[in-house]
Amino acid sequence: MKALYFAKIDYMRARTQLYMLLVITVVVIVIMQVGTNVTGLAGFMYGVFLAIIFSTAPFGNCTRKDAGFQQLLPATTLQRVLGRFLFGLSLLFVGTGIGLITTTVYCLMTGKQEMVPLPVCLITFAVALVVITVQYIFFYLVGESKGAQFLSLVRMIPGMCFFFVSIKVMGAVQQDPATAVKIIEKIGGNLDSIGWGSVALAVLVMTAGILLCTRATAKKDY
Amino acid sequence: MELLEVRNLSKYYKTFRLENITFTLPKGYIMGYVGQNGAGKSTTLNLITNICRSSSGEVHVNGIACDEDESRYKEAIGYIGDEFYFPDNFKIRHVRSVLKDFYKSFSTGKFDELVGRWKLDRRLELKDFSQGMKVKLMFASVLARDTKLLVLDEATNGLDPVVRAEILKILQAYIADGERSVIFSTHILSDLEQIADYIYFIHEGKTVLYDAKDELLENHLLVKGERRALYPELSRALIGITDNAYGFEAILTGDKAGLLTNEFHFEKPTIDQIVIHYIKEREEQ
Amino acid sequence: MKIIISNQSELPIYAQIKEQLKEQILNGQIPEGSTLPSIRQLAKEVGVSVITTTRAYNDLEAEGFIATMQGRGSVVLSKDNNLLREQYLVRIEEGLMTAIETARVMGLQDQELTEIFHNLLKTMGRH
Repeated sequence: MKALYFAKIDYMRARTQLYMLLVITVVVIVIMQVGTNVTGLAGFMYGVFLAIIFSTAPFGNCTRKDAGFQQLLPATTLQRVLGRFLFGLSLLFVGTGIGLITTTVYCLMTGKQEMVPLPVCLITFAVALVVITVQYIFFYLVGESKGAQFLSLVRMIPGMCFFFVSIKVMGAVQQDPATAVKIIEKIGGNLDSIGWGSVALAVLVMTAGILLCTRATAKKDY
Repeated sequence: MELLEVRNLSKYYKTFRLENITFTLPKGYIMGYVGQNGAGKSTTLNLITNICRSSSGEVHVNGIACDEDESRYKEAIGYIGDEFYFPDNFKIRHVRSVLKDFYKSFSTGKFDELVGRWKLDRRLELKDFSQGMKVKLMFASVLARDTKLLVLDEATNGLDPVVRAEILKILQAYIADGERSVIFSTHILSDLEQIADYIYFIHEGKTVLYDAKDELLENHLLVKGERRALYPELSRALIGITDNAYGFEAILTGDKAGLLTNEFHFEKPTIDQIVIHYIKEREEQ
Repeated sequence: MKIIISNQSELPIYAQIKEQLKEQILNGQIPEGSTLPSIRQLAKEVGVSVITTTRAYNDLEAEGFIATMQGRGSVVLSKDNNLLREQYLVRIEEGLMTAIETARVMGLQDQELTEIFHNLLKTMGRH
């Protein structure tokens, strides 16, 4: 329960940035109407990209004394770390949701049939979850309370990488669908099970990340 | 019954060592934790609140160590820092909601009453609060809970005399039932000096003096006189001899008072004067 | 009951409290049988430490001015009790000694001094 409350604190702290997220979504939808070479998929990716960027917000505006304030609250280290991960996870759900909505709006308005297939959705979700976990491990181990300037720079990198790599992959698949199909067959054939498998794997990675971060911060000074 | 027990508490940083802090604070009393800036006051208090982890030693609050039950330990403590610790973009309702979520004993009624009494603006983000309002909000957040120990780290710094006086009253009311205690750190004593029962004085991470305040005051004399009247035995006994154009000033422990001839003037010192001369003595060594 | 703490005084704070309470008990401003505020309450009102007021009360108790009883607080004792009687006698002696010293300084005969004493007793009337 206390982990949820910690996630709530993160939401309250990041609330102005989250309002921005809504504004950005509207902007994205508008741009997608104007742009010619974008696909519905790009809208979806953009939602996930936003989630990755914003998931680190609690670290970005976290000064030493803020972190200290959370240390004062009666709870265990595990609850604190778990709360932060819950914030990231829930934000990823929100981002995925926004992505899907964006794509749907795009499809409805342009009349194109470009809904995101379930496996793509799952794999993207899994990759994003791993990226968020890696970010959190990084911030807990080195970055936490290192100063806003440094953090706001570092924060942008993983999300950017994710966005451009995914666009590249999508482009490659569109240009040469045959190779993509071959690769998929090599791995095991069924796209759906690959999707669910990757999500399961990502959840495992996240669990390991939580334990690692808890261990790392249990003896830390604030 | 001891409310706060600190035993052999040490913390080693690369450039600073806090060493072997040991004291007890019984229920219903106030301790002043005194020293210069950088003496290790905040470090000690951060170890007590468990914001920082000690290198060695133990702390018990109301009989329990933080390792035993972190939640219960932290419920029992109310901390007010020299820095404002609530997030800048919070408003009062966010603070209220966090406190309500986390603390079993948090009383929203009491909190609202204090916020109202001190006229804290509910519409402002906390970064727009004045220093006085920030301190008051921290006090409101702590006093609206049932705590056993108040930990104040330079809490009255930068406050005007009216608010300082108000805080003194609050602290005395806090310990009035004889069940709760206060430890505060400060580098300027003056007003806080009067209400402190015990004084713990550190310099560069090491303990200099620790006693009941009244004992300290009674066991020391402030001695003034002319330099040439000094003789070796007295010079050795005097602590932190400070010269000015017309004479010297120093501290002498009461047991050495027999060394004073009537060439010297002596009077009762303040805690500040005792502290200044002890620091002077240490720095000359 | 009134207590004024002076930082200029050479007396320690506990002694200032003690002396002022003693004075008021002796001159009847604080009547016998009345209850003094609790140690903690007094500390809060006067703005001094609890240890300081505790010490003042302990001294007053040792000198027989008050008795602290569980649950009833600190009660001002009757003037008939022995300890307090002694305190009174000491005060009387002190007053007389000042008179005698002054008399010696101006070279007054003991005879004359006792006369003054008796006259005063008469003019101030019987108790």
